Amino acid sequence: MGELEAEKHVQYILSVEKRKDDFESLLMEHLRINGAYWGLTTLDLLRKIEAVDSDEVVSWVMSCQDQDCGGFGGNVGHDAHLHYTLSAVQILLLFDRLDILDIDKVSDYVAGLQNEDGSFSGDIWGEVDTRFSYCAICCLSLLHRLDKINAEKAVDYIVSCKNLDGGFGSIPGGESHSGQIFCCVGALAITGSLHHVDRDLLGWWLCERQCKDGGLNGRPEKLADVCYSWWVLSSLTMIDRVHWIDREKLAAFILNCQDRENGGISDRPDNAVDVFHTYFGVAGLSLLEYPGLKPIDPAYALPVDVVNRIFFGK
Amino acid sequence: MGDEYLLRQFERILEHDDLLDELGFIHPSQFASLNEGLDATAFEISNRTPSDFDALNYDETAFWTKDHKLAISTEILTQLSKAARRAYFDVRSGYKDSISVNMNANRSDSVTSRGSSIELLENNLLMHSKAILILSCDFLSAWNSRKQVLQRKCNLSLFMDELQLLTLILSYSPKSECAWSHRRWVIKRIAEKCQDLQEIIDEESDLARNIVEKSKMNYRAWNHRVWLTNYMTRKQVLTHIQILDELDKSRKWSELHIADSCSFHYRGRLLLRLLENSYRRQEEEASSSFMSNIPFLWEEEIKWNKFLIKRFMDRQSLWVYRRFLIQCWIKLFRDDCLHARQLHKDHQNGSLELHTDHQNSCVLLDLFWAKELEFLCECLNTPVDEFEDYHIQAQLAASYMLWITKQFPFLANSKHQERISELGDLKAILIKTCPDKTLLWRSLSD
Ligand SMILES: [Zn+2]
Repeated sequence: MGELEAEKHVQYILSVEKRKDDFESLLMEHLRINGAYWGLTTLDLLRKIEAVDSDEVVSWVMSCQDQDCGGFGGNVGHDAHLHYTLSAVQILLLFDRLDILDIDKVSDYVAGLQNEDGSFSGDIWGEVDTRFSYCAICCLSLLHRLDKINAEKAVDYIVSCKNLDGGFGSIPGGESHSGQIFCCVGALAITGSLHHVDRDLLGWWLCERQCKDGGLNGRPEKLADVCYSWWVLSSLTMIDRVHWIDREKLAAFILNCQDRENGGISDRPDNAVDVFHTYFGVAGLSLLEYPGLKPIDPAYALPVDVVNRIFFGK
Repeated sequence: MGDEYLLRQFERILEHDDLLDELGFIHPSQFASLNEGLDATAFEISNRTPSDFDALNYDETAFWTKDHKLAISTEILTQLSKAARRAYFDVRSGYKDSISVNMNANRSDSVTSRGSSIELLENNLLMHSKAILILSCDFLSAWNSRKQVLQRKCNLSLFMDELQLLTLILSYSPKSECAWSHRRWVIKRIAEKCQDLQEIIDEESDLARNIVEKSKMNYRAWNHRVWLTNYMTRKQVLTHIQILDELDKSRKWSELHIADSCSFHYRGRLLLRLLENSYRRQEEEASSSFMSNIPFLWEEEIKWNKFLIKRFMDRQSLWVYRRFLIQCWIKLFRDDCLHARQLHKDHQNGSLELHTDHQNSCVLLDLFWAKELEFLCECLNTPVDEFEDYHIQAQLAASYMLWITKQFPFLANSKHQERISELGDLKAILIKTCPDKTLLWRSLSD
């Protein structure tokens, strides 16, 4: 099945960071901070994060902060949003540089987006989605500020988005989707509320995501895609049902999606690579305990040593 | 040629034709073939005034436009995007400053002159953000600037125009999260201003139908429909009749798109919504003729699903939907049935005549389950070795049976034992027909 082309993926990620001028990178410009998180976490999992200049990255991240509201934008001068704010905090944690952050200012921004019913808006304009619940809960937990929100109501809202098939959607009544399930299970795991999950029922649904080619899909009747290696697998790990799928076939599927010449991983075999799928492929392999990779935490989506440093000061 | 010049041309085209309904990015060498395609149909559309477009000058290697269709050369996308971003960020910072100055100003004369300059900035902001979003629809800040301006102007016709821009962008970027989210924001603002939302409901319904037709299994588009149903119910503008109508319309669609699990999920939501409403109604008024219709609807849906399963043989989407339908159905019966048993205990000596409905539920549940087992027997006992789709059908049926009895263990014992043993060893069937999930089947052994 071939090996992980670790060195080539490192080169690929470093080259994407430098590329700024073609239309493709312009299309990514508004979420550059998410891209940075995907790329840098991949480098850390590959044990190569020292290949980037951490001072440069950290000062760029800080320049994406909106000084008025405290949240982070996707790039310098862009509007703040919970998703970008989580990525900013995760990047600072990768470099152990939380000292540079006004933690109360950021966490007030996040907590301020909680609604009456416990849900979270993504930004001041009010769109609600369980993904934003995850962003908020994960971010506040990483900052040791979960006490700033009504966690009980936040959990109640997530539970109200649970479906009869055991999965979760983005709003009450929304169809189950692997990405949304990761967010909901992750948020429940972080708040110690996994008893709301029917592990066998959800585990079954998640197992049915494995396709004949070994890869995982996001919903019934869809094609397998590398990004679901992360969302499905991390959810299965959190509910302790990962032994229900064929892990070897999944690893082979991911390895098959590598660009062996120029590095990077694509969504499906022989497609064009991107940073997003490179991250999810490597993160999936890390959960599968692929040799040489750092282990990743399934709920916080950060290397385990980084998470240990946050919570146990190691 | 200068980037700014290109941007001006682009924005003039957009201003000139506010009814654009189709947009594409193509190589300029293909522009000529677009003209040919149009000439053939020129007679059908000739009742428009051609002079509108003649007055507009633009670089014909960069743009092509006719009859509310616009093509942009892929060769200029980078240039054009950069120019649009520069212009947008310039006017955006000017606008932010003006607004904060305006808020702090006291003297009325300066306010009027500032007012008109704000008006100008707002128009420019709308123009440049539109240019950006047509090129990259997930540019969040540009959508937000539009919200800011629209909120200040708070004009119903501007909100309606915004829906039209969104329809255009969604037509070629049907999965854009930012565009769908902006659309919901606009709808909420319209709902604040306007009492009659029927038009909006119809329009959203049409839009979603058009989009899911072209973009299969589009989670965001179907999610938008679920959101709309929730929202309009909260606003109390979605009636039973409308839900029934929607169910009716989506039925044909689902039959033509059997693999689209989203459409079945959506039907399930509508059915549940009817059920919830009927419970609420029941509390309000003692009897409702409507309520008695719901079990019938549900049974029809289950029958229809069975019909499709028999016809299409190997579709996971249909079996997933069956799980949902049967799960709800059994829950309804079981709750009624348990309720009856409880009442029986509570009132050992009292009259039970009032509760015959509940007792009926127990009998109906038995009948229902017997029929279900018969159907499964049929699916499982077709010649498994012959064709691939029989294989898959047997696997889907066995997995369904295991799933449903795991949800409702009481179904697996009692009087149906004989029939259940006729189904055969389900785990053996699954390991044989679907060996790649052996780990799952084995771990379900108790
Ligand atoms: Zn993907």
